[in-house]
Amino acid sequence: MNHVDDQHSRNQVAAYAPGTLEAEEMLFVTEHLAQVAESQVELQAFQDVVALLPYAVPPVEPPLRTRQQLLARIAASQSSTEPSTPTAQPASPAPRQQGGWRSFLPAFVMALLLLLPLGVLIRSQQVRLAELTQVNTELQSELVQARADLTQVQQALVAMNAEQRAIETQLQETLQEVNTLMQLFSEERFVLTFITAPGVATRELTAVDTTINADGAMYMRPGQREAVVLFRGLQPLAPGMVYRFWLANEQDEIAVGTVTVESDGLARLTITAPDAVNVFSQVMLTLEPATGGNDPGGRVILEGSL
Amino acid sequence: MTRVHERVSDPSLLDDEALMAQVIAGNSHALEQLYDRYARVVYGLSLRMLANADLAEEIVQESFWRVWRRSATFRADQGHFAPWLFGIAHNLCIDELRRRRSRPPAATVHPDYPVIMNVADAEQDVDALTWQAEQRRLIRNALQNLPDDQREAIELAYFGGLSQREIARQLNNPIGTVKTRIRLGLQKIRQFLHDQGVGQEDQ
Repeated sequence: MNHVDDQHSRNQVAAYAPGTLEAEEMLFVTEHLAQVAESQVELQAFQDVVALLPYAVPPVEPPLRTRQQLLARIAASQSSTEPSTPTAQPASPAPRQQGGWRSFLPAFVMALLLLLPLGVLIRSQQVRLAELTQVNTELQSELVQARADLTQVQQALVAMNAEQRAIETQLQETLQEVNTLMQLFSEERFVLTFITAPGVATRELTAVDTTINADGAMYMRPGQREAVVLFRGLQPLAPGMVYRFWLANEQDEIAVGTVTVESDGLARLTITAPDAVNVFSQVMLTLEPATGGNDPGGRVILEGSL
Repeated sequence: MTRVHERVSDPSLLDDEALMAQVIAGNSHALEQLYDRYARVVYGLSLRMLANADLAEEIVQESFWRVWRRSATFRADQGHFAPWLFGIAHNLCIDELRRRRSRPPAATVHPDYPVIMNVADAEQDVDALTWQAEQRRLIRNALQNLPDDQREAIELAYFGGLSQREIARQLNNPIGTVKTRIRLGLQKIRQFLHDQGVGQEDQ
């Protein structure tokens, strides 16, 4: 994780404590917390701080009725879950037992003493069970809502991820364009520096016939292998064809590069000759098949003498 | 620290978690005790957040009602009672704020429900010997020590119930600035409390 990511995560964990994150942010932080124990510790520290914030507000005594209403509500909930009939009722004595009921009195009293607490306990547990059932129902309802929210968040997350991927793709394309422009700028700078440097000689390239409305200029330094050639007026190339630039002397004709023509007919070529450029006596630009070999076989467009 | 004193007959002598154990067992008197301890804080918090006395009363009643109804979900081993209660009340206030869709400008001073820093210190004297008063003194001092922009961000987040994005919009700040202010503010409060000798167990 780099510094920026780390700071972002720490900010989000801090924001989690006072509950200031939005739903999709909560999802990210929850996932982060599940993976990073250190952040869990940090969150606990923030939550301890947040737990004190209510004390910062001046305490105010609520109206008495608030307490009374709360207690009445609790009492009503307790009474509403009480059984409608007493838990334990004395059984009606049967006629045949009327004569000897006194003999059963101690046992009856003992049974009552045992049953009454049991009945109270059962009733209490019934009340608690009813309350827990109610709470369970409420929690299940909230769970359903939370799942629905989660689904929405996940959908939003998917959409965000798609959007992020699109932005990343666009960013990559932009970066490539910037790199291309930077490279172009670097080349242009080199060309400009080269052709304006002291001691640079210029040789013109002219069209071989009047039907060609193009020309060129070659900038070179005697004794060096590098040269820059600028062209203008070149026609766009047909598919499969290239403009190829040649250096020639009485023995050899050497192809030193192909020329890419821009939409305005301008082109430039930076060459590195196999020997000092002034060793060669002629230059020419030919129109060749892209698959052409080492010998000029195409049409000569421009030529010049060195 | 042992927090359960089941055999103490006077509920006012029981700590919060021991009272919650009795609430879980269905003892509404224990809930009354907790109400008497914390209703003022919850009511104050609700007033501050909602700026509406009727709604604040409802929040108090609903918070303690939920404590009663959901007491079984309280886990003493995972935290103390007060943060749990305040969390319930705070969430209810935020729900109410979102229902309204017109949140009050929490950073501004409401004439009836002043912000933290406008509370007269004299009030502390009344409860100077109580635990809550000490907590109040500490957290107020901690907040007062914060730079204004960090305190404002925390107030809007907690008491205003605003998201980071909403805070950024309200303050006309970049969201990254708001995030950093909240984190730094909480860290400084934590450090301040630590310097004052307040540990996790005290909270």
